[in-house]
Amino acid sequence: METKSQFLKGCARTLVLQLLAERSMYGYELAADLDRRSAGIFALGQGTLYPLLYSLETKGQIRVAREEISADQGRKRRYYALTPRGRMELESSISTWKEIVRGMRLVLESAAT
Amino acid sequence: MRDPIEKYLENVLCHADLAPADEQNVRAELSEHLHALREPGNSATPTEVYTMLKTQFGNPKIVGRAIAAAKGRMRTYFKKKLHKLPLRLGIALILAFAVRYAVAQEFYITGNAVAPVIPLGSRVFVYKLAKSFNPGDIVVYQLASGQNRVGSILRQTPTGDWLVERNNGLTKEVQTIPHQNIVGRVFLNTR
Repeated sequence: METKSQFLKGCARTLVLQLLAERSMYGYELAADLDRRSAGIFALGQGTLYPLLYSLETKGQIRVAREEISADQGRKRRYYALTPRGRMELESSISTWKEIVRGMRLVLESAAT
Repeated sequence: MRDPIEKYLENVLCHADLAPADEQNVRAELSEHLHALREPGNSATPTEVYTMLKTQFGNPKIVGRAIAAAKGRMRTYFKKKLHKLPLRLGIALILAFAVRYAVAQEFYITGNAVAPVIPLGSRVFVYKLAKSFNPGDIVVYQLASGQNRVGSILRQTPTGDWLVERNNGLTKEVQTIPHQNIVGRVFLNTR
């Protein structure tokens, strides 16, 4: 289980960049979208999404595009968008993942036959 | 139990230990997410809501520490220091002014009244808390007109006033100065 959660965290970085490349989103929207489009595989521990967003923001791969402040209880929707640096990171990350998936499939499928 | 969302947020932020501006942003952002999570189950008790948040959002301690790491602990440290900087500068300035007006004051010497000990053009500091003077001490004192003068102490009179000597061309002039009119003793000549 521990291995799975570590593994998912590694994947989440690429997926968050991919979703933000499509349109800017705020945290809850991003978590819900990730959950829905991954058929629930990425539904666990939504709180881990924010450290990921902050670290991507610190690295300059995403930025806060706009904020919507609701009057009650100081709630704020911060919409994140990809920066050019984030787009480059996404492209290199996707090609790495494709290679890994291809390699895994080749080995696992040849082992099964 | 108070509002479970507030309690959960406090728990996360306590472990994140962020700089004030960051904390405000993170609080507002997480609050939005946590309220969105609660909306489907409005009838739940506060304890149930707190348990639901822990399951759905994660252990507050782990989330808080992960946020601290993502924001960068060094960055947070410097942001906090920077946040307190204006206050510290303010205190330093107030202290500097307090010293300037209560303890030491700077004067610029524009005459030869106490040359050659302190020649024209010197910049001196006066110790304003000095209560008593010895013959030969250089002092700054104030005239009734409000002007400042510099002179050398000769001695104290029986009434407690001070006889102060100044160069006046080739001769010396001696004035009697009331004790309260003496600003202080020159203790530093920066020239």
